[in-house]
Amino acid sequence: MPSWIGRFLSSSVGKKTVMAVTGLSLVGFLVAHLLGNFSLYTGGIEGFNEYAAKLEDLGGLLMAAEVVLFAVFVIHVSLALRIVRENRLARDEAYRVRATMGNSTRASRSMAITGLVVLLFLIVHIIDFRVPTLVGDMDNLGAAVVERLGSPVGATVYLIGILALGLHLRHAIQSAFQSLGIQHPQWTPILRVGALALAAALAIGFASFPIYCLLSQGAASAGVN
Amino acid sequence: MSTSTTGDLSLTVHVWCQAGPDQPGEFVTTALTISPDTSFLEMLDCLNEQRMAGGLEPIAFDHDCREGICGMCSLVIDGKPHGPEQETTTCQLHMRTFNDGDDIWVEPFRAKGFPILRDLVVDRGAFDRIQQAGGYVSVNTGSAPDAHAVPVPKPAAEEAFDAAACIGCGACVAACPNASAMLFVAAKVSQFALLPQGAPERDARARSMVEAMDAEGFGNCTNHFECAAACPKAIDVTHIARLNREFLRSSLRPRG
Repeated sequence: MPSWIGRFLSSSVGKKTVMAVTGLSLVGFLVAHLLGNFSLYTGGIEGFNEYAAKLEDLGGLLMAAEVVLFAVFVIHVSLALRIVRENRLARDEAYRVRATMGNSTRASRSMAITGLVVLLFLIVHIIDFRVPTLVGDMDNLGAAVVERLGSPVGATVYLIGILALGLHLRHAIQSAFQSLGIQHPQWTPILRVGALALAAALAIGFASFPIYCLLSQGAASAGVN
Repeated sequence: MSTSTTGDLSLTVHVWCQAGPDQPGEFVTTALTISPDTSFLEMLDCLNEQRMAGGLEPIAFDHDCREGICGMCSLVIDGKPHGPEQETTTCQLHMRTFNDGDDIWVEPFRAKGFPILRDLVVDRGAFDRIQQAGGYVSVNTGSAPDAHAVPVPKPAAEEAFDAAACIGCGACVAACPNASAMLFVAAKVSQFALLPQGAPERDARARSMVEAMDAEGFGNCTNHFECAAACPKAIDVTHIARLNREFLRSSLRPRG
């Protein structure tokens, strides 16, 4: 690697650039993931299974996409750990009396924690639906999803994970534009609103699934169907 | 101490005392009666007089112009750099901001890049070293250039001037949850990035200054924007976005 790239990547601003690019790529994945999930609403369990089958039919392409996604995720998380560690070290002695100046948010202050919760959630999520032996019938992934998300424990785990994701995104998306230096007197306020709306839409969209499954499972067990 | 008059404030002031670098520190509590018309630094002067009258050493704190332009005063007062007032340096803060009976907590700016020398005095030499890395323009000496020889658009002049208002006090570092110095560096880079006079060194400036900043042990910016709220000169985070752009541009240019 040319030395200038190494120097750029190890600088504080370069690290933030990489965080922003990888973060926005992951947001792109989340959008696609959510749109795919909507097949459960439009086509029921069969519709969802058809969508899953179409993805599986991509074969090598899907595998390649997953490898890239995994790499992006690993870069994002490992760099985040480094940034958190460096930032802790940058203030070796804590303030005894601390007040916020009013510009930071609960979301911005808890990025490390929400990120960690999302990471743990993601491990659970992948074990739930990407390990064939646990899913049982991979051709009927939709049923497994509805069953897992419809159980009180499953729904709680997913809602906690999605809440953490929502909080993370609340700071992350608009912050990424700042890190990339995208700033304009007219466009930035609109972009900020758009970023917050996208974060909210993703959180609400994903949260709707455990709630939907919980309600439909509840209805099924009550015999109402 | 003068005898108390009507309207004076009775305060309990807790000030950080530390004998030297890497020494353990602690809060020292002093009861004080003070006129609301005194400035915060005058209050500390009175507190020190009271200490010295009692045979104690005065508490060390930084100050110079006492009119809000030199950037020498510091302090974190009740958890906020330069105290509770917006766009105000500690020297321009007055005791009328506080209420009778208040407890006031005074700490030094805390950051690895600003090591404590004694009590409330920290070494902000890191800012000088960052500045020396690129916060300048090369000007040939000679007769003064004609005022209108170099055209500068009015909006660019205004924005460069906003950035140039930075007094280098370090409140941005003190306020940042990550002890990042980005707002300071952003102001210094922004000030020149917008002006034709800054163009000759533009390619290297952001890169050199960010490298110098990182070498001092400041944290990474995570866009909390606490710095802008703490800045006594109201320097905006748009300058940080510009620094990010300038750094990207500067990194992509060949090194001379």
